[in-house]
Amino acid sequence: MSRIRQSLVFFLLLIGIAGTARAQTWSADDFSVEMGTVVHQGAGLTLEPNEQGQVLLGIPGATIALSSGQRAHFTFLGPPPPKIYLIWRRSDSEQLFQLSFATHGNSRPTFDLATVADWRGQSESLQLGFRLEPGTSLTLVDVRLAAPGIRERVAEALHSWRAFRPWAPADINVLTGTLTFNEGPYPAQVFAFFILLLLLAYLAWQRSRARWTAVATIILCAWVALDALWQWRLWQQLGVTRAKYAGLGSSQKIQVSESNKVANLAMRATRAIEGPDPRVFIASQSDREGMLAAYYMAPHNTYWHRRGDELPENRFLRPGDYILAVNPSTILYDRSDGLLRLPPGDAINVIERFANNKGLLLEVAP
Amino acid sequence: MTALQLCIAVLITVAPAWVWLDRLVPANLPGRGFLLTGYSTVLGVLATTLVMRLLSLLGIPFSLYSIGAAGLLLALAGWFAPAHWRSPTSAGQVQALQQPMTRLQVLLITLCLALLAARLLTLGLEVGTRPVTSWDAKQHWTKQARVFFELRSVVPYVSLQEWLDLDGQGVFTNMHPDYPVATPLLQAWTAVAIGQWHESLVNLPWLLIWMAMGLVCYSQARLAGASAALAIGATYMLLSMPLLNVHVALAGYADPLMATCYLAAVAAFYNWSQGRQAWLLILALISAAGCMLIKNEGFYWFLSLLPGILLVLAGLRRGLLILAVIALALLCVLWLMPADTVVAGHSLAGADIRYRPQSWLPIYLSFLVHDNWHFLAYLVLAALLAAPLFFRATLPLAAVIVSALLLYLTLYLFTSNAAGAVRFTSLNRVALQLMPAAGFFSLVVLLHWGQRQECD
Repeated sequence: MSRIRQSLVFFLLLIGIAGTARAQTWSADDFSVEMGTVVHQGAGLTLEPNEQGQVLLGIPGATIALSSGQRAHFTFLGPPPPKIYLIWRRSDSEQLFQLSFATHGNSRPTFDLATVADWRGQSESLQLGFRLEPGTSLTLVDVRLAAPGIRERVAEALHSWRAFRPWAPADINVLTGTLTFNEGPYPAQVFAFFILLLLLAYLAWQRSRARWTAVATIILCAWVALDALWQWRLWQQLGVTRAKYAGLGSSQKIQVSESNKVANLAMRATRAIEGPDPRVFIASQSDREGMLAAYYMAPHNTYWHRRGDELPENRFLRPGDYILAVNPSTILYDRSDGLLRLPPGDAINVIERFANNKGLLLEVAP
Repeated sequence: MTALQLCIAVLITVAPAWVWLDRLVPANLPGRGFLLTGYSTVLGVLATTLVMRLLSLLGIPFSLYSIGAAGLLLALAGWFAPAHWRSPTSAGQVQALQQPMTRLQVLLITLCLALLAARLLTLGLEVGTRPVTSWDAKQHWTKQARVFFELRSVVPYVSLQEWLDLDGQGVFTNMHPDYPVATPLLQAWTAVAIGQWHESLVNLPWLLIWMAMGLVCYSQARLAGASAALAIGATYMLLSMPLLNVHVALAGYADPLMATCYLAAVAAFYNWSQGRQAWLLILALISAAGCMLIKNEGFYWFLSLLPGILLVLAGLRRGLLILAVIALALLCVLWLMPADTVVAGHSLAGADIRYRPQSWLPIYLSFLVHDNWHFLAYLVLAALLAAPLFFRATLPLAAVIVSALLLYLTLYLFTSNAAGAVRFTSLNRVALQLMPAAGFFSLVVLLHWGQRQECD
């Protein structure tokens, strides 16, 4: 038991040390002001812009190793500038590279340089640029360039796993457990790895005395822990759903949904359509709009060709048929002549029943 | 009033199946009530859709009364069926591991029940509040349901070209006219029961199906010899799979019903393979046949049971030999078959058979990286490795699961459906149909380990 305790302490110490990643940090004293005016220098560097609203700071004499694993951390006292410009020149190129980041009002913004193609090699010079309104100022405390440590990565992973976003259409097909599709680490894989370690440790410890009940309990407890993230997300989603739809009747729910425009178009078309068992051709260039129109036109006998021609050939259209064109649509309707022009050069007489921003309803005339 | 109508609809759906199953299932079984409720729900749902199709054939419009009358007749027929149809009450059954419950087990059961209750509440409120949302529901299933409801009848669906050729007279059209109609009929039945089309309430059957899945899993686990704690733990894990939960919350797809039906078939098959009680085989075959009413691939899931049945009846060695011969014969048939022959909605020409290695990465990500199933896929893999090495009694069940997985992999690695893998569209939806059964298999392997330890 004491050996296990020692191992645990060592492991935690290792994490703690590793958690503090090697970083390059520049504070107020390190910058040279190339544009703008220093108004105060104390805990941070307070600067006012020049007449063009520009502030430019340089890090003189610095040869900086650039790598895609780095992140740029900025600390401001008070409101940050709306944007930060990072300007650098590499030792292997004459070109001056520039990148800008929006701070979104965050006085301690961090920017991931992983996807910046030119952020590599050795930098001969590094400059920071800001744009400010004349008469305003900013106070920069420090700038840090560092690869994220284990602690930071763990914090980011947990944030991604816990982050909530409302249902997206693709959720019916795939759930990653993270905020974005392509960015791990993924919780299921991480949990599976740690369970495997736990089970191997247990089996190594107990050997022939290993009980299946203990294995089952470990698996169940790990599942409950992982599932807690999912249950939390379901509760938050329920809050969003109820805020939007609770207490509403069936037709009211459609009115507040994302498909209300198409639904209203379909309902208006339903009221305008006359005759027994009419056929309704749904014409739209948009998969989504066409699909929704066909759905809300039910139980009318509708024709909708997904990813095909908006309308069939002329010979299939009959007097008394209806055409519901849902924007975006490329059907050629000549309002002045009351004609619908179909490829390859046919035209049929139509009567316009109504038109609005979302679409129009035409009836094929005799 | 709506709540009362929904309760009556549930009664009409479940009761006739209950009466018949009550005759089939022996009286003295652990978890009998849960078994009857679970299977009555699944099979009752499918039977109701068959009743609706029969009514349409006879020209009788759907209504609470017409469907209710048919249900009542079925229930009465079951009630008055000859006594010798009933399974003998003294039929042997596997005894659950008979040990007094420890404090830890009581704690685990309480925890799992609380978690399940929380999940039920969350999903119930979500599905009952939100209107029809998901793409395929609006594009196909629920749209068809709306037509069936408004016309109070099943109407024929044909391809777009056929619809044009027939002037749309007496036929409707959509992008998949060959899809079975059980799922839309389920929503139509709900609307018929409450007398109106309600964008949220028509999705309530998905919650019922989710609960039925849990009841089937729990009862069959108990029948297999699992303690209450183990059975409820496995049930909780199954019902909490994220992608399953999404399919309940964004209801309207046919996959959860298929998943429940296939689980019902596979679980019953396993228990039959252990005790050879005829009623379990009947349950397995009926449930597997029910898969064919839900989606076209149900035919293949039905076929996946046959290797397992063969291994049970012919023995392992002989059964494997026969399977090898059948597999070779199938390959020959596929080689010689005309490319335009349609089987379960698919033809060789349409499938465009060739190796598509680009599907491997999505398959790996979906099962072993993403959170669709939490980490159930790892447990299934471990079970598949352990079964042939240590627990040969589980081999027939393993054969069923492996057959289903091989069919699944063939679909995405060798046919044009690979697009559904690469774009992460249908890949997980089809997997959803199999994962509960695969999870049950993992439980069975664990159970055999436990039983071996108890014997040692």
